[in-house]
Amino acid sequence: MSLDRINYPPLLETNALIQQLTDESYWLCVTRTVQESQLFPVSPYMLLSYFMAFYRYPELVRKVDAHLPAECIGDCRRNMGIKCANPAMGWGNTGPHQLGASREMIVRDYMILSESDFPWLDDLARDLPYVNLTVPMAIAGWTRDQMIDAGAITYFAIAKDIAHVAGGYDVADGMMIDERAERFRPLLNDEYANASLGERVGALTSPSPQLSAYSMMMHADTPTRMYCHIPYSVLDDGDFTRTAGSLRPGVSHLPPKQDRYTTTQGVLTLAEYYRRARIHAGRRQRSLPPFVRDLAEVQQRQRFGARTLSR
Amino acid sequence: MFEESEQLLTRADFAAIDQRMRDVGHRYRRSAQVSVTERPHAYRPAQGVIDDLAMFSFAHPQATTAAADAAGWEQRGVGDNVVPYAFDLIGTARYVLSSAMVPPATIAIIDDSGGTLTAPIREHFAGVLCAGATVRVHLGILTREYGIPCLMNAKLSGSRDGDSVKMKTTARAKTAAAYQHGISMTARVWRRVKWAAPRRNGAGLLAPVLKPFAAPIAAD
Repeated sequence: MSLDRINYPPLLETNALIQQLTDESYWLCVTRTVQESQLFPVSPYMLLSYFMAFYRYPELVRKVDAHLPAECIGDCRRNMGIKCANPAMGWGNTGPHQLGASREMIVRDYMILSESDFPWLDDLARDLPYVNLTVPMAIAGWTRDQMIDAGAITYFAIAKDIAHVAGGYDVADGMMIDERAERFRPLLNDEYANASLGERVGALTSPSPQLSAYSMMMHADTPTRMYCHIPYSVLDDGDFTRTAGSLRPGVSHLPPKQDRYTTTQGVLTLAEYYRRARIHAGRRQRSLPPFVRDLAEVQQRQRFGARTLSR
Repeated sequence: MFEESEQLLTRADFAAIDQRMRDVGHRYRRSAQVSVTERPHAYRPAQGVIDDLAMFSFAHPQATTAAADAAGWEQRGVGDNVVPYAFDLIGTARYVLSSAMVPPATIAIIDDSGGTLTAPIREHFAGVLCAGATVRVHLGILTREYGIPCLMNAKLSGSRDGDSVKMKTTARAKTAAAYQHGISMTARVWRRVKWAAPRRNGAGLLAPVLKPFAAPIAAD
């Protein structure tokens, strides 16, 4: 898809994907009902992650795309040995596998649990020899703000592994709370956050989720929606909001991330990690059949040739 | 326009809203313990703070109750069964408010939807009655995997700490479709009452004197 113009087929494809995510997310939310916890301020950190995503994702996606096109990232991810569906929290599920009439097994591969992206694993996980095994996480003694930061960063950093694959990851992009999102913190008390999250993922009573009376949302039996579609009007005038502002600095109540990343080749700095990853990617690129390389080049040209965004 | 929008509403504006709400006497409803610990005056006191545990019980307005049967089991509520078992579970009701160890045969009554505070002792529960959420939350998943009978979304009234209680754990598990379509699919909860010597009340009718058994009863 050209970046300066959206045409009809990609619009349908994108809206179908949005709809699929909406239906699945809504069903999961309403059949679980409660996201609260006495141990963690869950709703406040989820809302903070939404604010961060609103401000940063458009620019982060462009930044990642400038390093490596989406098609190549998808291809590279298959090397990681997990399903692409949910790499978000550093784990991937395989299955379910039927074990009998009433039992199913899900195999969960944990990833990135030694020293890696999250600053709170720096000292805690130093003695762990392998990065992809499960560990209990100690949060005793954390302040509420630290808990909220860690939760928001974990949710927000869904995209960080994609940026890693592309070699376009910066610690400040993923591990810091965007300053624009941060200013909402005084409103993120438990009560307001619960109410706001409940409205967003379940109640859907505010104006923007309402649809025409002739529409129906799957699982909700009401004319509502959770996520907005891209309107057809963009096909006529190309007028849509491309950004929520440029990338800005962030803050955090957590200790700063140390430049240590546990990999299969030992503990590396991020720069060294990327240097070696690029060598690996080069080898892989050379080993591709010629027509695949040609395809990648065509896609690169389509993307970067059309990079004339008017902001 | 996004480059300056954050200057239109600043952190100070949001902090002023928070301050104004507290100035007019509003206290926030809490979820996380740490929220109250750090700002005790901004939050309401925790519901279910129990001064006298012996006299305390949940009193859910939608708790379905029924008089005691011949065996002395008096229905005190309902819940959503996570997974069916071959037996109905009998144990001793304990309102569990911390991760302190519980005696054997404890049926833990908890109000925390995630049950996070009870995580360290969860495997010591004979059963769980959770007053929040659905069978699909973490607590439901974990109790199912530990083989611990559990009713979620429990609406209880009049079950006291130390009561002998019975959970209808042979009931069908509540399905996601039942939640989605608002279909009632509940499992009953009873407590055992002891019938003392009958005495006549003012209207000339027999009335029971209700007392819970003191000793726990092992599961059937």
